[in-house]
Amino acid sequence: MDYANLGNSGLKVSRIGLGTNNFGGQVNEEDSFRIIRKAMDLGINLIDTANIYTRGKSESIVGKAVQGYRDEVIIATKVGMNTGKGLNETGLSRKHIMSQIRHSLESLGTGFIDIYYLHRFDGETPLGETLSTLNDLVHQGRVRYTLRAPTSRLGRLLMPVRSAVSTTWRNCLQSSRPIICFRGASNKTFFHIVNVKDWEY
Amino acid sequence: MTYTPLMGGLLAGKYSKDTLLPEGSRARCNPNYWERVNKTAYFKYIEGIGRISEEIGISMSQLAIAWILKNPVVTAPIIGASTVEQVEENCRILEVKIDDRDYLELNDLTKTCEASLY
Repeated sequence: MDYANLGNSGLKVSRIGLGTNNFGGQVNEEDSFRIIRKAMDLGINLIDTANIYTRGKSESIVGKAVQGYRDEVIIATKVGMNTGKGLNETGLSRKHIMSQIRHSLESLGTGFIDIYYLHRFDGETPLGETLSTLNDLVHQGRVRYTLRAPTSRLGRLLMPVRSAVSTTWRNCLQSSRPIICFRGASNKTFFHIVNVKDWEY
Repeated sequence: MTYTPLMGGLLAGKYSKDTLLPEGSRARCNPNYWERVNKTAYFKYIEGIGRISEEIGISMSQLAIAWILKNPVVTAPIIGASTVEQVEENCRILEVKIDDRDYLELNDLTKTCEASLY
């Protein structure tokens, strides 16, 4: 296995991450455990899940699988997508993030999440509210690193908000060192990578 | 970190445009996915991946991931697996390296995909 620092952080991750979107759905729990175990044996230390994957089952499976190995793995999970029909059961408001971090920590059976992503862009929540919430989570020790996951719509949405994002994000970075901003995630890989230069902060 | 690096199997050459979808496949089970990806521009790109992968003698999925790994801003693609064998196969991709010419050609091909996305 090869390893590299993730983005501009000091976090060292395997150059292949394990996706867990089908654990507890298409792939049953027992097979999921086998796959996670195999991945760790092969040197994969990065396991990527989300609060919405298989309605929380994916997080629970990952949590169980890494018991006893928590310090060896890097668990990434996400917030932002709908978790219910309630008005506040979606997006990147302080209320929703704070409620979801509690659920994710519980499902994962851990006291902290290594990488906490924003699963989508939320134009209805002030960016400062979202970023200060993430900052609080880092200071509380519940999250180690944060980053934003682009969605297929982000490329388009980013155009009008780009300047706002860059200023706010930069201010936030200056005031709160634990938040790390990563460049260069991409989503549908082949078209987003060519867009990466558009969203340097 | 990049997700769906094979675009749900599309870049592995699993599907062709407007053809019959395999039983139990993601495209069959999830019509939204298929509607989103069943586009001419994508399949032009996929033809490119198919041609180049044949030239260098590796599978399409290996080429698609090797191409992502070569991008200097990418640290780690996130790859799902349904079997233990797939995890092993995914890790072997690290041994595959592609040259600059193929990398740039694939970059160029993605430009048409970008236009069709938004």
